[in-house]
Amino acid sequence: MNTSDSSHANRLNVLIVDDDPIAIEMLDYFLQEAGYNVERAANGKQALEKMRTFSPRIIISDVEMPEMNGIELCQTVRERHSTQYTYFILLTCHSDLKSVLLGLDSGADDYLSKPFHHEELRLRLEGGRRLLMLEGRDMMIFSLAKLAESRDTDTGTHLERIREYSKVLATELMNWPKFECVVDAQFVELIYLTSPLHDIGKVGIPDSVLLKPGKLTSEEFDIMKRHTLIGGETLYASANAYPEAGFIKMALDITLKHHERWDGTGYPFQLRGEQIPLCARIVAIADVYDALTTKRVYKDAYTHEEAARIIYDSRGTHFDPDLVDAFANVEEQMRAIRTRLDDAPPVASPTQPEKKSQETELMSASFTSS
Amino acid sequence: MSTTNAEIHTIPPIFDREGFLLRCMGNQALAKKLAVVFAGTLPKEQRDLHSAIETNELDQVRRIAHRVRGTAKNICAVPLAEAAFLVEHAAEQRDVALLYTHLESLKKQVEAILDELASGA
Ligand SMILES: [Fe+2]
Repeated sequence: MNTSDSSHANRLNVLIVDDDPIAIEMLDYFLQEAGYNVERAANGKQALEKMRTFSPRIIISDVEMPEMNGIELCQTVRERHSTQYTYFILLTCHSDLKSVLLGLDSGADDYLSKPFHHEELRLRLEGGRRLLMLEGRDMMIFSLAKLAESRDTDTGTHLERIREYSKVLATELMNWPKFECVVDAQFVELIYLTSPLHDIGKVGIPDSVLLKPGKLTSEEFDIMKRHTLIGGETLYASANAYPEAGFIKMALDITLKHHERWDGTGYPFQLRGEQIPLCARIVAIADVYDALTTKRVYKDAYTHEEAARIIYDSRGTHFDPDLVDAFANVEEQMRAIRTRLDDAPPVASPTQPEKKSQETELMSASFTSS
Repeated sequence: MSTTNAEIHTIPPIFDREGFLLRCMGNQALAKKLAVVFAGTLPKEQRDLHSAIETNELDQVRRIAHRVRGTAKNICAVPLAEAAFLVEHAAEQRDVALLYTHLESLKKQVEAILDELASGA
């Protein structure tokens, strides 16, 4: 499609799917006026055909069409799990509540009643744009975390698990009267978003320390500990540059303080108890649980039961007692995440190569995973 | 919708030119182009509708009527949209006798709008 205006920097690809020639002409006109790249298809089948060469960020589709209808198209698009999210708007008849519900159920994001009004169309598209931008932000954050982690060779899906563990623990706290005012749905969403950043400071740790296969000397451990400060510094600068971005504040708290311990023996500041922000206390337990249940070059993975026992034994020393209790309540969910997002063959038996003392194991787990 | 200046009780015009132009954001060229596309598609829709009835494909009848209804609404031809709706509904109910009655009035509406479009071109 030719576009008349080149002043729009971010031209999103939009695919319009409708067998009504007037609707498609109108949509095409409005969308191009609004600065979108537009392609058309007359039914779902044609739309899928078109998507081999055209990758739409937004699809606006009629429901009732020959060959393949809009609901089936939406389902097919959702089943594909493509790398980027496609915002799906269904065009429905006013009278047809059933197809609206069916459409939303099939994964559509929004709907627009026919005949649409251009102002309403514009607003719906804005909504889609916002969501796609948020997705972009979330993906950037995760990519950044992944990049930082990529130097570390044996961490696999550690970040994917950390955010899931953190989410499960935070969600559990939502139901506790004590945390009612602190942990809400937004907190849960933010911790999911920012927990993968906990170790981004590792980018500043030299290879000789970060990639050392065996145990670290105490000098090396001191260097390793600096990852909290390096990450914290980076995010502190961002937090000052973008004071309105609340997620950076949480990312900063987590990065800087996820190795603090409830009893004040952690690092870098030896904070104790509730001096440690809740988000960092949550990630601390998630991080250690993951380190314990993950195989390393120098150690086998602990079974879930072993790891859980170590966590229970550290109630009130390493970990916030409330969080250990929360962990107990969601233990099965933690185990399920561990199994689902496994990147190594499951542990066959709880035999460890050499049985270290619990404290040594916990120490090494919490700083080699850092 | 298209009833911006009209009273609620007045019969909607065969083709609400003003309303349609508003829908086209005042773009005369677009309105004209769409009117031509519309006039071009209606006879074929009519033919397809009749052949679907002859072969008793009521589901196809319903689909075509549904599309005509949508197109008519888009172009601000409310009486045509209503007539198409009745056909769509009768096909859905699989009431053939009723379907024929409504097809007759749909045919009249199609003729009326084509005349109207031709006269105002
Ligand atoms: Fe760490």
